[in-house]
Amino acid sequence: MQTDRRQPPDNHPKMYEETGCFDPNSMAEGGDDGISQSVKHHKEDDAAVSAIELELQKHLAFNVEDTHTQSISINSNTHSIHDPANQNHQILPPYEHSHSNWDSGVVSADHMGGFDQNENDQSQQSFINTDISSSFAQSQTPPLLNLLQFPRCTTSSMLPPNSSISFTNPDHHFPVPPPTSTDVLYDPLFHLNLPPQPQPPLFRELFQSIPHGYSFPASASRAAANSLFGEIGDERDATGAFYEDGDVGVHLDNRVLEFSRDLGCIGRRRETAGKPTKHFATERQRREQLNGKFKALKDLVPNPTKNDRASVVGDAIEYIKELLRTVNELKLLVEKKRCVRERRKRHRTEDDDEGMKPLVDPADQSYNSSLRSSWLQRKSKDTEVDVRIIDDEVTIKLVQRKKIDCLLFVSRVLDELQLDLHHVAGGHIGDYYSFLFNTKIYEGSSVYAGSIANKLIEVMDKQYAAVPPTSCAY
Amino acid sequence: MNKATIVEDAITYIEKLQMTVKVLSDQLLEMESSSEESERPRNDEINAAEEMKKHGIEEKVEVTNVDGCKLWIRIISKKKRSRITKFLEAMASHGFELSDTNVTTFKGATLISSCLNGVYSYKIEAEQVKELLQEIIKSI
Repeated sequence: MQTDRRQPPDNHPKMYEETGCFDPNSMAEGGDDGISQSVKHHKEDDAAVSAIELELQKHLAFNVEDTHTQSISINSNTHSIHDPANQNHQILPPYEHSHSNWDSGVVSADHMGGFDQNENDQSQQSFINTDISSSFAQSQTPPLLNLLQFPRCTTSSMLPPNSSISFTNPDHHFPVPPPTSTDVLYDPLFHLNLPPQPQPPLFRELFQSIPHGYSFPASASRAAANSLFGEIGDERDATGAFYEDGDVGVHLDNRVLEFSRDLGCIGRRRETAGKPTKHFATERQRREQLNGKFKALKDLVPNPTKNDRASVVGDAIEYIKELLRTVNELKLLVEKKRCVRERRKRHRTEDDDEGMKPLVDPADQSYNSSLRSSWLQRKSKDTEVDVRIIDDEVTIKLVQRKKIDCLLFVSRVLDELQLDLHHVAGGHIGDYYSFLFNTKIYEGSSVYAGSIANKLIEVMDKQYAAVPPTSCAY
Repeated sequence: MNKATIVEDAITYIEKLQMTVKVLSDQLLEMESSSEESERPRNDEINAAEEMKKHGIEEKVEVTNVDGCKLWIRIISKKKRSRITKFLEAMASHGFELSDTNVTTFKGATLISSCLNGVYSYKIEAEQVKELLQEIIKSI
């Protein structure tokens, strides 16, 4: 029976909406529908109940014109009657309590206060229609009395508690108590801790109905979403089109809601008041900034290949990996050097003769059980260098445009870097010289891959610069 | 994470890593400069000579005439520090143009094989070159 009484779901929000946006006609209709249906299915004492509900209906139509009206409470009353299964459940307990208060026939702030506490016990969802109907049947007290409780409940259940719109704006036609307890109504609303049960469609409509200049805390966090306009510009190319719409405010709000729902809070905040021209400037600035950042990234990378964004990012990734390898290598070297030093010091202090011994004890190796490995590449206009280090062996690949006798210079450089050249292989291919050098690092040398590559490139470039193009001098 | 923040983070990270590399390499350089020189090269050379002897590798210079004004040279010598560099320098100073040079090191010996092109369009005799090379090797 109780389920029969339930209103079609769309009816319910509609009624809620009307209470908010105050559409008298639909409200009356909704009320009528609700009442008639409930009247049909009313279990007990149908006659009495229907009589009451007819009264309610009158009240509904009546109060529609009134801003501060009990009809809204009546609405909520009918809501509670007809839709016990809905959010109105929280209304029901107070309803019940109000029933008990009916006998006292006193509608006062005390009751309201009392109902506050009752409403907090809204965990009970098991409230049955029969109770309502029975309470209705039992007392012929004007339903206005019990309606006093509902305004609070319905309002709060209707809107998210953090939305200040409904609560503070007296223009909205929300359930209000009878004139006698007008003040009281607003109080409970504020300090009620209700579970937020926003109905998204309603919420959006509320946003739309509110004058655009209204600032609500809910959208304060969405001010960030406004800044999203810029961020999102890339992903949603309709940005420009959007701003040309007539009612920018509403569209912006819609997009705000949409964005904040889709993307949550994203990074930067910008102060935008929602004016279209400001967004344009921001959008352009945003794009320029982004391009500038890509360029900065490209400038950081030592071997930029192409100029498109994907290549820049790819190069940056490779470079970061290379830097990490270099850092590890250097840390290892520093550590090794420190060990050697300490060992040397110890030898010297212990025994002077020991100073001439081989400086690297086998024991030293135990300090560095990790294998040193490193790899990086460098390119310049005419030279490409690939340096790989494993343990104490360095493999260098060198490719350069045919111009000078690079072997000599490379050999010199390797000597400077304390690298023992073991193998050289390569030759002249087409326009290029290609060589592979196998070297061993002399003991105690703390050269690292980066230093080798950089030095080689430097020398090669210097030689190229020093040699006139046509001559083949050494 | 959107594009702008990703790029920004990348820039910051790269700069941070570059700074770390710089700091570490400076530290390494400092440690390097303050450390003492070792006597290692001499040890290496002594070892090299011994090894060559052990494996029966002899020092040798071979020069062969190839295709007119090209000479194919083959030098086996004791491995010495910076020897290769000095050899190349010597070649350059004599005006020899080397091509297809290959160096191999094995058991304390170094093998240099290369193709020597005509110098200043002179035609050089193989024997002459051989003697020249032997002198060079001795001197370096």
